[in-house]
Amino acid sequence: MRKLLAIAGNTVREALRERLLYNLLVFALLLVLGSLTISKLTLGEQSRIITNIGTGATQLFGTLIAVFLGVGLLTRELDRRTCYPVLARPVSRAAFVVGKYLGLLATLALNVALMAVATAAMLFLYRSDVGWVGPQFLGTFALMVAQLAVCGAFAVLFTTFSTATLAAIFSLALVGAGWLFSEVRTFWLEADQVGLKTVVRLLDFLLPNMGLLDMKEAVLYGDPVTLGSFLGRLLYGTAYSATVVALAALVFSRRDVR
Amino acid sequence: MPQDALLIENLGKTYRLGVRARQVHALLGLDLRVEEGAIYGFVGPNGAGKSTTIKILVGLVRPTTGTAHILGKPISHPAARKAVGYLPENPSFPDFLRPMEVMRFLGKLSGLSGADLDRQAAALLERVGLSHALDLTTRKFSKGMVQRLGLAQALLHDPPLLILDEPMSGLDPIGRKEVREVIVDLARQGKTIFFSTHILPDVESICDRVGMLLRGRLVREGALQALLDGTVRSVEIRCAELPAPVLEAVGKTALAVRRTPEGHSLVFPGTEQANAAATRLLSAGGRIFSMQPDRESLEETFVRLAAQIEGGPLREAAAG
Repeated sequence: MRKLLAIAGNTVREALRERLLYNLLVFALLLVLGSLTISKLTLGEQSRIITNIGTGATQLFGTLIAVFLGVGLLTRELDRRTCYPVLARPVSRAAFVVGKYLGLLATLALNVALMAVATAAMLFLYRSDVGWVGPQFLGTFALMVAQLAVCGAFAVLFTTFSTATLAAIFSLALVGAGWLFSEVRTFWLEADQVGLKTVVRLLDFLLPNMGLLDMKEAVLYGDPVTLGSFLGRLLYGTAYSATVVALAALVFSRRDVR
Repeated sequence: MPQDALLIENLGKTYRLGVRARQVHALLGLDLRVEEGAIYGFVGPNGAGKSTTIKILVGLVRPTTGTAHILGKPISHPAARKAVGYLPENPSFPDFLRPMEVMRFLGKLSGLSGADLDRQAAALLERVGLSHALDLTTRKFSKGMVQRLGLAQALLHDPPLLILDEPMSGLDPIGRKEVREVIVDLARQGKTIFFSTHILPDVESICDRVGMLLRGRLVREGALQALLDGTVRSVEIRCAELPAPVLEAVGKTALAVRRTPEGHSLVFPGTEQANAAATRLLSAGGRIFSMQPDRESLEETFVRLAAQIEGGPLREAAAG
């Protein structure tokens, strides 16, 4: 466990020195700050618009950060050969992959927390109360970490057997497919007009159900979400990411490092 | 009887390259034993399979055939690497870390922690001559400084076996001498050193045994003196300036006579001629500064063997 934490800690430190991270984060924060102006263009619903922009910016830029930091986790170590002295120690390949991934996850959680604080600050500036920042608000941002965990896990998996560019493309494509499929899955699974049910079921099983990890509607429209539902979604995201990372560890364990 | 620090049996590696998975045999049926406490030099030209062997031993590359054991433990098990300190060829470290941070990070991975780790790390950084650079990130390090840091991290957990891939690479003559001294000192402490190199004079000066690798095959292996052709090819006598008649008499059997800043240099075809000339020279009142036999060096042995095996001289074999 101590080795995992050492690798994760080093990964966080590396990520926090990454220029890309700050570029995306600054852009996302500017968007949240700008939401105050955008919200003034509409009549009423300003809090909803601020929240919508805040959560949307966190999702969009968080996904980009997760994928681009994720693809660099292993490829950078391999390209620069900084992993040689690490892997030549009594550290299993699986521990190395999981440690790097945990570091990525901590970085993503930090980013989401920062964005959540920025969005809450905007709401406070506009309404001078923190009524919107309730369990649903916090739950929405917490589930975003689970969304980004899935994105990061795909990025790590694909870099174990392909280049950084291809891994970024594959990851974004799969996450995009997950979002799109979650929009149509109920119809595709239940409507009689849709054929190839086996393929649909297989896609339903394999693709990440990103919609399930999204609680934006609840915070925007005040839909009630039970604690059980929240924990179930969180468990799904955690289990999905863990499976993808386990697969990444398996592939990396069989790979030559040269 | 000393235990085997390294036992390698029928080790082989075939890479599959490109879309068509073209097979490249990097290492073929390597059998090798390195006893505890030995300094073992692993030499060969570029692409001979030295680094592949080392990467297999430290778990970076999976062998296609064969097995290897480190102090009795199979290399397939991460625990075997507890006993190994590894210096990669052209080592690289996260460039945002300072040397002490690198040592702390890698030390934790070797199971060290706390004040012991800090003390050990500081002592090693001092030993390799990096104590003046503690405030610099490794991004600002020269190649030689990175190499020194590589050596320090390999020694961090006090391993009984050191596997060093080109440890003298990137170092200036002073740095090379210091690394040689560190290696000899470690061997004196009972550690086993297994290192690959192109710099054959370094092997000659510090190794007990040598393995020569060519195109993935071990072509010669054994004690250094047994590998070298000990035949004396010529003997050079360097002496103070001689009167012309003495020089003419002494130089009769010489292959070559030339002037040097301190007097003369005379090269004789063998030991007997050189001894006779030395006796005559001394009896005539001459002064001898040195008598130096010329034997085949390891580098020459290596090039000769390479030429025999490959059917021609190897361009890269004499690198050094």
